[in-house]
Amino acid sequence: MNGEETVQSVIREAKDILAKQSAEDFLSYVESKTSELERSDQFLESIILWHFVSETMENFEEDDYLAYAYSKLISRYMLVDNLSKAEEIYKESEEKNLSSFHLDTVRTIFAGRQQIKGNREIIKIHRMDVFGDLELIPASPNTYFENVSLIRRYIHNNLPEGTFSIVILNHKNNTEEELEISTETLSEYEVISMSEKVRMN
Amino acid sequence: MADKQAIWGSARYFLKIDPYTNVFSTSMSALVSFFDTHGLINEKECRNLQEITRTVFEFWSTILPPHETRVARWIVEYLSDINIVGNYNLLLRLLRSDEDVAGDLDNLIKDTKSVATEDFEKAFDIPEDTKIIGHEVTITRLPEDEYLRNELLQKILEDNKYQIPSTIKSRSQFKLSNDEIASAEKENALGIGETQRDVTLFSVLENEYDEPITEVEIVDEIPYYFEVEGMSIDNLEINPTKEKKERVLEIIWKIPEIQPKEKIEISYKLAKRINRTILEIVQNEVIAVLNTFENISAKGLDFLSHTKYINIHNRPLHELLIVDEIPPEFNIIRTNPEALPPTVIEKAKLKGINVQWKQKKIGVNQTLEKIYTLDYFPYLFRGKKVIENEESRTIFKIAKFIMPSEKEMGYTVFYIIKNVRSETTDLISLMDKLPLNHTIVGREPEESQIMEQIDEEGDKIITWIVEPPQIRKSTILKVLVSGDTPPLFEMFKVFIGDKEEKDVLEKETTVRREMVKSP
Repeated sequence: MNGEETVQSVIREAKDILAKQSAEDFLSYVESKTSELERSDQFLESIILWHFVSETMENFEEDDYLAYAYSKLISRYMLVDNLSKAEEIYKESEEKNLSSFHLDTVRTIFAGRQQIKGNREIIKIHRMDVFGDLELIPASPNTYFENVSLIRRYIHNNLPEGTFSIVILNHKNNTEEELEISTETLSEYEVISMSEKVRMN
Repeated sequence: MADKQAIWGSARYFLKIDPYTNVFSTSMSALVSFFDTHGLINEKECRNLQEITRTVFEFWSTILPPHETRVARWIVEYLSDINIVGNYNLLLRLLRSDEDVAGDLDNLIKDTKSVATEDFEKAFDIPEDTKIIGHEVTITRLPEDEYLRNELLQKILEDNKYQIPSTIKSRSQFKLSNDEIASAEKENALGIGETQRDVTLFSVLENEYDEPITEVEIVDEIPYYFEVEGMSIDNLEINPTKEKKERVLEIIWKIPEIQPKEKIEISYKLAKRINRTILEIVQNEVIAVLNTFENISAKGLDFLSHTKYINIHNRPLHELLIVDEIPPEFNIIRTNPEALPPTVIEKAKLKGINVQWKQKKIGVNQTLEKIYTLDYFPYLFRGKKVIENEESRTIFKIAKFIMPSEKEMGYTVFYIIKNVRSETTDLISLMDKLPLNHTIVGREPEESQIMEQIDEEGDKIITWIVEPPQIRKSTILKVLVSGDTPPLFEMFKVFIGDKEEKDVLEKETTVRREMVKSP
């Protein structure tokens, strides 16, 4: 079978699985077939199949499968060095507000390569003291990030050791998110803990 | 500590696996992180080996074509670098298959029933006041596949492991003046003892009636996991009776009479034991599970525990598996005979130590004895006090941390006072207690004013007198203490000028493993 015939037969079989079984079985079948293709360097065939998955999952209630297909498409286009196409898919995934563990990972890699300006801006950084109280410390304005992974990387690289509560403004939909990040080296202890609240005479 | 390593075929991308255990198994958990040359890209907490392999594979295949064999080989080499012996075939199997092992295992177990254990108790020389809890598990067959077989044995071990309770049940019964018998039941929480290994328990009964209650019986159900090192009942000269039940030792106190509003308090000093689970593979279809409890006794600065197993079946055993769960307060210094493979000492993050002894072909009456030498696991005491004024507004927050010194012959105490919103100029005094034979050998800042005196109970009282810090600022004192016994895990007292603490509004005490930054 040549590449095109293989793709057609996988699509037929996959449609059949989706009709008779579940979306999970469908995805796991396509995944196993695309892995086989990629092992013999048939990346274009793999890309066609992931496009087929993204189109099929477009109207599906759960976003996860679609996000997964997009993560595969971006990473596969990067693998074949078609960065303009990877960027196109990347932007589409942004417009559709898709987010998942894999998609965030892949988008971070892509943004790292392309220096893409993101929508998220750190607007407040609080540092936590031993009592768990938050104290505001200066945040650098006008630093934009594409996603949370990049923010975490920024905090690890640029702030001193500590536990921080970060407030992020997402300019795209004007919402605020809060993130807790610790950059401290922690050790394991058997902790004997007592806490009291008392009133003075 | 695990370090990141490059993905094979890439100079720009790296992976790091930070396992929460030192033992390779399907149940091992870890944090898997993915980096490029700029730093962290993403990370994932993985609950078991399958998730670890899948996550590494997913990260890998975002930048390279997916090759299960290369990923499995890479993981084995990575683990080997951090002294964990992996299994390439098992990793490959997990990467390639979606099999639901747990579901299959459930189908293999047919039945579990309790069995009598008197003969084992005689043969094993178990500590006084304990019992052996016994079960017999019938399975359809022992799988020939080694991976499934190990998984099944691990599952039987897990399912039948003695679950350590966090509260202790107390029942009481008494007679009212109209001869009516009343009863009550409650769960008592365990408390912190004088040293790290001790646990305290208070069992209290208050007569809430307007008449005396008579023929009072209080029964405290002490799990066999705890050794009763001492007990007392207020100032009464009553000796309790003991009764061994299936899972608990009942301590029964009989009190002739309690007056209205009178409160009877029974206090126990308990010590944790080693929680041992024994799996005897008696036949291919029958597995005996025994739960035993082994005392830990102090010897000099260390602790010892002696354990004994004997095959009392009238046939040799195919295989014997013993898992000893060491209480989290302890660390193993050595075992005697020395722990050699296939013995596995698993130190799981935030969970404590499990030692797994595995023996094949155990002859009739063959005896296996082990001695554990233990010392304390690194501890940290953290006491925090929130001070409110009369208007219920928080004015100060004060913390105390105790950390053992590196040389083990003393410890460091930190006191931190944070002024939240108090305008006071009155001096603050923190009053704390040290064992009498402990001495302050250093302080920082050196000019700190610390008074020492001995109280009526013979304890050393130290008082730090200091000016209040400015609002939203903190003052810190570091004290080095020398002493060859453990510190006292107690809360300090606070005075502001001549004002003292009036009411305790909230109080909470916990002991658990935590990942914390050294203070």
